Amino acid sequence: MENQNGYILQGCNLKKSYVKNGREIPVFDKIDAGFPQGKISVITGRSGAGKSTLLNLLGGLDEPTSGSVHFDGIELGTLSNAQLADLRGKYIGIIFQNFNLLSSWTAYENVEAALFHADISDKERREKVCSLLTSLGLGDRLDNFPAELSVGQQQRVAVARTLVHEPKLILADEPTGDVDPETAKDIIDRLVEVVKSKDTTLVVATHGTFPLDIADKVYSIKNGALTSQ
Amino acid sequence: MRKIFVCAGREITRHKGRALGNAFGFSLAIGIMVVLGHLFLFSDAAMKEIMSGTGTHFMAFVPAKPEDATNPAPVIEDAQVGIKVALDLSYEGFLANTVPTRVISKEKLDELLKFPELIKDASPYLLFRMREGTTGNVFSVGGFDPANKQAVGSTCCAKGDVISGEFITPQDTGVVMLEQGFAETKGLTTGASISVGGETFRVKGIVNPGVRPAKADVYIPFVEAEKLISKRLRTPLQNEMNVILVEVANALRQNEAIEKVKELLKAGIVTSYACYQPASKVLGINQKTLILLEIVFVISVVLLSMKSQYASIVERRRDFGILKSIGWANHLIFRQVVAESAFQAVAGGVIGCMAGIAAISTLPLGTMIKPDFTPYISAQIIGIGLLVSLLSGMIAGLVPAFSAVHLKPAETLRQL
Repeated sequence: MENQNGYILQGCNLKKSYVKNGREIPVFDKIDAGFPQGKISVITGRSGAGKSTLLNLLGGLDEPTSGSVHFDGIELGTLSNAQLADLRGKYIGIIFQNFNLLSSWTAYENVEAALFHADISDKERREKVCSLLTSLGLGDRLDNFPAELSVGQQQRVAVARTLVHEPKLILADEPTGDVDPETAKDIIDRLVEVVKSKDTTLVVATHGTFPLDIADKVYSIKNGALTSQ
Repeated sequence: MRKIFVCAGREITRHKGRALGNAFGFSLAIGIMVVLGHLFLFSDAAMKEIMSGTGTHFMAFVPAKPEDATNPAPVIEDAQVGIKVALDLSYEGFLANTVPTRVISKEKLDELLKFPELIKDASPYLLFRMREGTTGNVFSVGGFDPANKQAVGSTCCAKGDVISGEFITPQDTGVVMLEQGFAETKGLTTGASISVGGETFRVKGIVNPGVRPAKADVYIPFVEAEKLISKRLRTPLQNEMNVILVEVANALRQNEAIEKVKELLKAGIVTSYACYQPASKVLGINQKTLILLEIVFVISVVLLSMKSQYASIVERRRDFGILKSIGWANHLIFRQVVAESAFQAVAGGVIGCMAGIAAISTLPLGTMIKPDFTPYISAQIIGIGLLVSLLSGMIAGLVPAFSAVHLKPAETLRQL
């Protein structure tokens, strides 16, 4: 299964459903998806189609009802919580639709939190975080709390947090959904640059705000089924 | 771990209201605990002082058996207990508490004194009922050690009991002291002469020993009583006594001391004031109440703090979900929550200890215990207060920490 078909990330026969009040609510069933290494893959679909749920499964944040997810040859279902956390801390970066910044931590601290596992000195850590935030135009906003930043700035902090530990895989859930076109372009450019320069794999879930023309692979999720376009 | 402490410190300083609330709870409890702890110490010191002078003494003897006067005398299991039969068996003999007794070797005293944690002092005593040949009067003679400073004074007669004349000293010979009632019945006063066992003694003092368990009609130095009584026995005394006067080391351990003496005397009987029991029990109850209060306070604070910490975890579900999604392991989140709780508890503990010290230094707590008691600060209590604050803070953080660990990141983030 390791890097089968050149896929660094693969979902096999994935099913996800929730149980509420004793009733099973299916999200999707028997989904197979592969994401090639160093490429941009986009999953499109309407709101509520299950894009975020699929990303959560791919990032090991949630468990499938059945089926399996393989990352770099490792089946996530066989990993303990600690191993999953370690995997995310070292190799996977996640950009959330609503940024998910820690409200009581500053921009700097939010980004630094992703380097918790990194075996680097405090000085290197500081330099790395400051340089990244500065490159994203937030050099003068290091000590600001999320509530003191604009939506676009908050999204850039979230992007910085994802990129700071140089992950092999970036899962981005509507990374440009809530930002203005200019900020969206900056973010997309930055992500594309990382994919190209560092052979990073980017998987984006979007309902249409992300340009499909830059994608190497496009999936569409509809009525619980995933189709490749 | 340093990074965990930094993050915990950050959470505390960024949520001052919540942190201050928790720390205040701990400071209140630890402050009260420190004050109660000192009250316990003061009470304990005062109690020991009181108990050392209350009912901490008794007398012990081995009762005689009906067959003791037979010939040959029965075999006694304990080699240090013997039978001495009076020549005038109808009227005379050893007694204690109005019952005939056997005699005990004085070596038993040495055995008793091997337990200084229970027995503070023990003294030999001869209590003998005697009939005066010329008058036919029957009275009790108490042979005591005038050099003894403790056991005699508390169980037999003391200098403070003298109502006229003087107390017998170790150097005195040929003198006796009379019990007040006996002296009045016989019309004897200080300086008068009295015939005891055919010998004449001068009355040196009249005493009123009240309800002391080993009181006698006539008090005489042990050595002279030994000689006098020996003449009235079929076989003379050989380094023997029939009563042991005992001063207990600590009234709270009086029962243990009594049991120890009974064990040494085998078939022995112990007579004591009973007043030590309610006194020690009441004082013990007060101390137990203080300890119970301390425990209740600490448990209350731990539970309240746990509730507050738990509320904080519920409030921060999203934060933990985010941290987990970016790779924070459960053990890091667990440590951070426990560290936060411990920080707040220790901060509260330090403030509580300072408040407690201030209260002890300024409030008249010492005089609440005893009018002349000078309060002091115990480093041990302060240390325990700080330790309790740290441990209770950690315990208070455990349940919320487990709760945080078990949050599923996807569910946490999805519910937002």
